[in-house]
This record gives sequence, C-alpha cells and structure tokens, in this order.
Amino acid sequence: MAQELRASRCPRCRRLVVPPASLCPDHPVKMEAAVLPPLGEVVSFTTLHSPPEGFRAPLHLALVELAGGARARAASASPPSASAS
Amino acid sequence: MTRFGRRNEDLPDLMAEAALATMTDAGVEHPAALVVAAMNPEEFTGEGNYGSLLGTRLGLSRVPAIRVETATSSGAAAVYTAYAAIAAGLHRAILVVGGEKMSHLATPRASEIIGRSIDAHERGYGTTMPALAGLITRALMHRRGVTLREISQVAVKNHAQGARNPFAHFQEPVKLEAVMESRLVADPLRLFHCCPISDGAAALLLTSDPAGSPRRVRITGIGQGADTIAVRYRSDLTTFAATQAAAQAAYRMAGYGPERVEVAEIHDAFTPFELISLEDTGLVPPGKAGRATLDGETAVGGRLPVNPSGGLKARGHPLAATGISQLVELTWQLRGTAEGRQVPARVGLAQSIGGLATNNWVTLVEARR
Repeated sequence: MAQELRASRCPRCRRLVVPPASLCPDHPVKMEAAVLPPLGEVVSFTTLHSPPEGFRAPLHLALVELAGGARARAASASPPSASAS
Repeated sequence: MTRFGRRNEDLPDLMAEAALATMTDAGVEHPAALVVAAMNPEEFTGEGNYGSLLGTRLGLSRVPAIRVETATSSGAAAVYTAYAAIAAGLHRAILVVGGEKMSHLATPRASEIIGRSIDAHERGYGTTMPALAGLITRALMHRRGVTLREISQVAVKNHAQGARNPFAHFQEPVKLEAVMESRLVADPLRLFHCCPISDGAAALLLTSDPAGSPRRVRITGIGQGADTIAVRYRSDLTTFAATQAAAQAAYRMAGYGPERVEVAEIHDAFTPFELISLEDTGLVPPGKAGRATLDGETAVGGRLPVNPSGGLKARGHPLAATGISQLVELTWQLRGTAEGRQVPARVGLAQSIGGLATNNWVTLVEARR
C-alpha cells in the first residue's frame, strides 16, 4: 500500500484533487503539489457485473473521500470492507 | 421522429425519415439552416462530417449545416444552437435533426463508446455509465432514504406509458416484481432500471415566423448548466448541479417557475435519475419524488404527468435523438395530438442530461393561444 497519495491544491480556493492536475477545475490557475495520507471514508460503492474489456467481473468500485475533501476512485477484485483503503 | 428501437436503416436514413416527417408537418421544404446532433457517429458507424453528410442525403446540400455535440444531451444542445441563431436574427427557419445508430454493435462495444464521455482517470478503474449510476443510486438510497421500490416504480410507470406510444422501443408493461428481481447491473441498480440501447432519430423545425399554423408551440425558456466531467470532483452525488443551473436559467428566461409546468419529459437513462431530476428542476419538493411516484402523482392521469412518451426507459435512448424527441413529445402533447397518452397541459418542461450530468439542458414550451 502506498504511504501517501500525490494530490494537487488550488492556491486560490484550497481545493484538493487526486490524481494531480495542472489547473484547478474551478479556476484557470496552476495547482500546487500536495500529498495526502492514503486513508479515507467510502462515500459510495457499487459492484459492476458487466465490466468493460480488460476487467474481471464482479468489479467492485468505490468513491472515497480523503483528508481535506479530495475524492478518489478505487477499484478492487474483492468486496469493499470498512477497513479497506 | 422515427420509431425508436432496433432499426435496420443506416443513421442518415433514420435522420432523413425524421426530418422529412417534420418538414411535411411544418409545411417547410427549404429551411434556411440545418443543425445536426450526433454524439459519436464516427465510432458507432464509421462516418463523420455529419452536417454535410445529412444535408446532401436530405436534398439540402446548399443549406448551411452545423453539427453539435454535448454527449447524451446533444439533441437539446442542437435545439439551443438553432434557437440562438434564430434569436440573433441570423435565420428565420432552422431544421434540427438528431439521431444515433448503435444496435448493430455488441452491447459491450456500444457501452464502451458511450462510456468515453466519462473522465479518463475514472474510466481507467473500469468505470462505466452504469457504474457511476450505481454509485449515485446507492448514495441516494443511503443518504436520502430513497427505496428500491420507488426507483423500480419509475420503470413500471414509464413502461406502462411507453406501451401507449407507437414510437417507443418497448411497448410492453412490466410488473414491479419483475423490475425488482431483474439481474444486477451495478449494485443496487438492476437491468430494468436502465434504458436500452436504441436506434432512432428525431427532428424539429424552429421558426421566428409567428404566423402560420396554430399548431405551433412556443419555446419560452431554454437553459444550459455544466458540471465537472470527473464525478470525484463533486461534493454531492444525489443532485445534479448542471440540471439545477439549467432549470434556473430556463425559468428566468420564461419569467415563471415550476408551478406552471403541467407535463414533463425527464432524462431517465437510469430510473433513479428521474427522481433526482424532478427535484433538481423544482417540479417536486426535495425528498418527495419517490413518494410522489408511488402515489401516482407523476403518472399519466396524475397531478404532473412525467414521461408520457415512456421516457428514455421505454421510448428508448438513441443518444443525440433523445433531447429532440422529448420536445417532439411535448409538441404533440401541447397540440393535443398525443393519441392514446394525451394529458391536459399548456406548459411543458424537457430536461436532458449530457454525460454523467456534465452538460444538462432544461427547455420550457407553451401551447400557443
């Protein structure tokens, strides 16, 4: 497991995004590099029974909220659990 | 518009069928301009340059043509483009045509092409449109208390209404148990909560000429709203900010709010989206759409008939045809010619979702006095 996640922070609105992006989604300004702990809260999850080519069914997908409000996408071959990160 | 469903004709022929029916109905043989909506014909059919391709196929090769694309709301975007050109005084009569042809491809292939409207990073995890809809549905159920029965009743209602629409892809009613027990697609979303892959085309003739047929209806408001292509950039999964912004713009332009709307065509690509959209447009108070659906308020015969056409769920969803077909249905409803599914209404609202609610539209139409 990664020890930290690379992210970007908007110098104007302080918004955090992962993975790093060059410009803020809400302002045409250059974002600054940031790192986040690889821990978060599952916002929602689903199990996809007909995944696209290159993925095995069932595919478990989750949206995870990280520190500072950044949201990350996660995929797993096993069902999500409360301790998964 | 054409009948939606599995069609053997190619896309230009489907678009021509819809266009000729509309031009005949409007009594216009030679529009001043052509606006064509097609989401992804290059990948679905191998052909591009769709404005010119269709102009020549229609016998309108010298008529200026533009192709418009905003993913699954491309049809509504084409109506907006034509409306803006007329409002600017550039033209007096514009033909708007939209369509898609997909059913000749295997479903995983068609789904992959549709899914290219999703953020590339999110797609990299295997995310598809149904997967995003599954995430949204779980959040809706967990955070807003929406029930499986409520999202399933949307399918039951729209199938019952589609059964009375000769243009619909599905013309058979379905039972609530069949919806709730259909196979899981993206847990908790099941097969009968999802719209089909359909072929078809739809067309409208927009004109600034107030004379002529009393059967014309008037666009009183039209608005667009946008949101991030990356769903992970959004703080709330249970509302679509793009619909809310589009609705506000349309109501502001019309000079009235949702209280005057008497019939609506809503983008139910996944049935929970009908519940979200009814609240985003203000047609139903927050948190009440599921209950209103179970109570029959949104059925034909109810307080506010929603998707008398059958919606995307039953009429079908040939992507770029959909936003136009919603306004075709409302035109028929406001004229009083929606045989078999007619509702009493003078003001209608159409709402169209592009991508995963990245580029949405709300259009208000009124019967002429």
